[in-house]
Amino acid sequence: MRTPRARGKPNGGLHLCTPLQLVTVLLETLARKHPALPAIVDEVILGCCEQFNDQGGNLARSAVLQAAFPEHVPGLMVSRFCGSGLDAVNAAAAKVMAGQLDLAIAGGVEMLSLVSIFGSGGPMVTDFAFRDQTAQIPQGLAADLIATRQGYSRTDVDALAATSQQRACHAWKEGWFESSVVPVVTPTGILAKDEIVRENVTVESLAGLPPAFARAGDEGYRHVLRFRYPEVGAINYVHHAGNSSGIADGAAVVLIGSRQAGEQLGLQPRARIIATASAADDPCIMLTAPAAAAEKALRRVKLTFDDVDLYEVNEAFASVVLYFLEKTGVPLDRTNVAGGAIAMGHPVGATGAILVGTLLDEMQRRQVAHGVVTMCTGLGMGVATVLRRV
Amino acid sequence: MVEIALPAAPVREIFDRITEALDAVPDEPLVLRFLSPSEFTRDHLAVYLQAEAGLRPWCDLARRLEAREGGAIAWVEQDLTGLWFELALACRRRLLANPKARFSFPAMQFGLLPALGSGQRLARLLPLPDAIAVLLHGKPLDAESAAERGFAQIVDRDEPVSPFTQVTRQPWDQPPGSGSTVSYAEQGQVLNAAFLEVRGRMPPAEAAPTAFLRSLHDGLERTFEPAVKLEQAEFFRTRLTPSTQNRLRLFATATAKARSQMNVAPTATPPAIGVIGAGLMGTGIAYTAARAGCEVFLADQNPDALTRSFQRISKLAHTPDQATPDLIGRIHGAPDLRPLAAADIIIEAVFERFEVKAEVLREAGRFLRPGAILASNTTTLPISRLAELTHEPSQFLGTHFFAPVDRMNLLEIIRGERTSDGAVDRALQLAFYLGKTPVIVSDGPGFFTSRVVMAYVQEAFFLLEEGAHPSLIDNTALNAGMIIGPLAMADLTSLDLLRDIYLSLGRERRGAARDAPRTVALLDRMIGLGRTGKKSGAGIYDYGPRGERRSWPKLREVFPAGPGGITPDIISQRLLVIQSVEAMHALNEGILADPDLGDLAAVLGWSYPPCLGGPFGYVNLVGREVFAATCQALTAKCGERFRSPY
Repeated sequence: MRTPRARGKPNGGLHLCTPLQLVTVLLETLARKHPALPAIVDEVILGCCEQFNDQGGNLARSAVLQAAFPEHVPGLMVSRFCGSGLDAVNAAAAKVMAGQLDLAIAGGVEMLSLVSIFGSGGPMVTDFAFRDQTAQIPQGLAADLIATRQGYSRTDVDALAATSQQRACHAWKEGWFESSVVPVVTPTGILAKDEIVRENVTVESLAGLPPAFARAGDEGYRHVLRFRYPEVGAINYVHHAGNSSGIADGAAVVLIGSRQAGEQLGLQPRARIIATASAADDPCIMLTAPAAAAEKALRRVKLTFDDVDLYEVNEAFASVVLYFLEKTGVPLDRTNVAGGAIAMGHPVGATGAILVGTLLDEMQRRQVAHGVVTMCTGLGMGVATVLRRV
Repeated sequence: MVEIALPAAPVREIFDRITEALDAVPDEPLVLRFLSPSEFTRDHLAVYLQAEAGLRPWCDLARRLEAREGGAIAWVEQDLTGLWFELALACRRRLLANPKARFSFPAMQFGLLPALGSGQRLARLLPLPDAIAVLLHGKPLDAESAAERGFAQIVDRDEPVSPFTQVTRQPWDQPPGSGSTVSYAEQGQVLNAAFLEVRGRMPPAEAAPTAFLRSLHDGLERTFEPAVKLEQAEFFRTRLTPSTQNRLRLFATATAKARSQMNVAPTATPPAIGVIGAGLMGTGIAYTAARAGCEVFLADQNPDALTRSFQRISKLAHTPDQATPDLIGRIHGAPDLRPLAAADIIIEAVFERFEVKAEVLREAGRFLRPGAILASNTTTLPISRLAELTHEPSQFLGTHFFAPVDRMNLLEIIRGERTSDGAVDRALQLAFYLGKTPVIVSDGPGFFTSRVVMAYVQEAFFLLEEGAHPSLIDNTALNAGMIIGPLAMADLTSLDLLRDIYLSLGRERRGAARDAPRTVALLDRMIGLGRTGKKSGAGIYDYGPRGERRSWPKLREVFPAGPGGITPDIISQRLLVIQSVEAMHALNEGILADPDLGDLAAVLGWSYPPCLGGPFGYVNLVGREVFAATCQALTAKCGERFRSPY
């Protein structure tokens, strides 16, 4: 269950809300649908990338209180950059698997219209010795570096972006998201749909957009990456606003629990989380670990990439998805079938939980058995979750 | 109010004087009158380099001045630098009695941070970008900017300091006590931009700039006293790093050893200079000499060349603080060599070909007045052979200026077999008069600088031939700290010119030039394809219409990818070791007299990374035994050119 994704800008449809309100809306909706839930839920676990200012101070416990859940419900925050929401889900699943938790609401939230990416700082921003050691560059430039090294052309990345936009458009038209998107009442109206999705996007219509990360290169980051990737000559700047994930506001939650807890609530389980994993790769190129994370998770349950029917690979940038497909041999027609963050936006800490919801809906609609969500994160990490429909 | 005059005196004496006053009048407001000019390297550097125990009292003095009841006021009549700059920052007000006075702290070029806490003070007194400009880039802060930013006040020199002058505590000593004036985020952006700028021109091996930016960041999020402690700890740590040690050694060489090559006193009167050939080098030499105050006779038989040369000189001279008409008025163009009879030194800078130069030298000898000296400006042509064509070989030598002449500070002086000591001294005097650092070398193929550079570029060609990608080779050189990659430099020089140079170097079969035939063959393949370098838009790289460098897609057809395994570590090792070995050959053959001067020539002449110390310093950096073992391994793997002569 999720809010619509709004432009993460002052003109975005959720900008006048607060991160706390976005989560609260979802908790209240859950409570309305399942009145017995608030009293028995063990924990609310939320992912959020930039946990400072309005997103600081443990939003999970804050939202529990704001939504008037019983005072005894605690809240836990997790953070792994863009993977935070998926890690919240994984953390809940792991606790259930270990018998340390019966029922949790897991999810994430981010309002990029309020906080900027990297706004919470950290050594990768402010410690120059650490930055030298890890050759830190902006993510967009890392995405261009992947494209340069793998030889993805501007057309390659734009084709993937156009597919994402077309699929998202189609999915919205067919009403595929209706059961999971909760309209949000804002101070100035109601937002019921993802704001960013555009119609009639094609490779040709994307071709005119100017590259977005040449400036970062010229600011000096191309010198920084030279220390890690000396073999790379001129960077092929292929990413732009139309093939990178949209800056967005949004929140999402997933209900995770043991069989007994589900039965107690009279709920029909949709899927079982059968494996999770995290992995890491070079922190400079940063966005390459999803394949390793997915492989690791699948290996835990003795599945291969071929055994999986559907994939959600977070579309942080087009080259991230192309790289995942190239590394794993997974075909595009099984990946991001309802579009992704390029089309609908990437409210960083919320996206992992959004992708779990999207995958569940698609697995159910297509009546397939296995699905995988995987995401790249800051400092070169990847997270993955394997679902089996029950 | 107590005033202490600080005249020209050894810094130790001034330290005692201030300390005495502090002890004598603990509660009185204090005025420090900075009366005489000082120079960072002459007056202050030694203090910054002394043992920690000796420097600590200075660190404490600044804080004592600042924190005492009544504080202190700086009365500034002269440029302030070094320790005086740092003490003035610890004063609560700075009164500028001289509207031309400037504040500067040029220590970063030696890899040094402020020691008395000035990074923390300046970053709290000035907008952060200005503080960075002064301390990281060594840019002086002039009186006007200082006054505009409220950092200092311009006052009437004859007006005494009013005893009622308000001396409120430093901003960081007032509650709430932190005193950073910009937001954390804003500060982060400024520091980030400074970091990226540094990374564009030097590698992480240069310790001081990163240490400085880190201590600014770390200090600004702490209160003042811990911040200063941190900055001082970084000062003491950085001082011992190889990059700073190498910079200090290079500086000592430039001041002491370079000067000690000369047997006579520096001249105070400008020598008159004759320059033959108004091309790139001739124009640069003429401009640089006129800028230094010399009368210059610039001869070229081609009137168009002279016109273009004067145009270029006007452009170069067009800076606000230069008396342009005077400078240009000192350069006298001439269509023939007759006016050169007035010159104390004639430098021919015509086309780099033996026959052309020989012709000009024969002619120039006719106009050389008695006692004057004649020089050929050349990168590689044999000086002793050219000398034979002159009327007075004892008065003839080679000069090797580096382009652009007005900005490159090395002058390689080549002594021919018959060059007299007197002639060499005259050339040295000229060098110092022009503000160049001279290094005397003996005649031999490529002298010192060209010889080592050519060994280095040749190694890059071999790596290319063995299958390493040009970007990998050039970026690896950049990562080591070179300002341009060897292959990009080759394209810039042009491959056909390089071919001529390697042909000529190869004749005497010394050092790495024994492999010159392989290099020539390799260059022939490129030239045969019409790829002569940047000038033709096609060399190792392709060049776009605005000169932008791109990979050449067909490169692999000429130089197929190797079996792999040529890692960046191997590349940087080969590129650096070959320079050291070649420099050792030059030393061994007597081309060069002193390894320290060779290191200095490398840094000034071809921008060898100062953090590595120079081709000789590099041997010490990696350790002599490791270096010897590396040479042995490389000799076995790559050939005899890696065999060290020592």
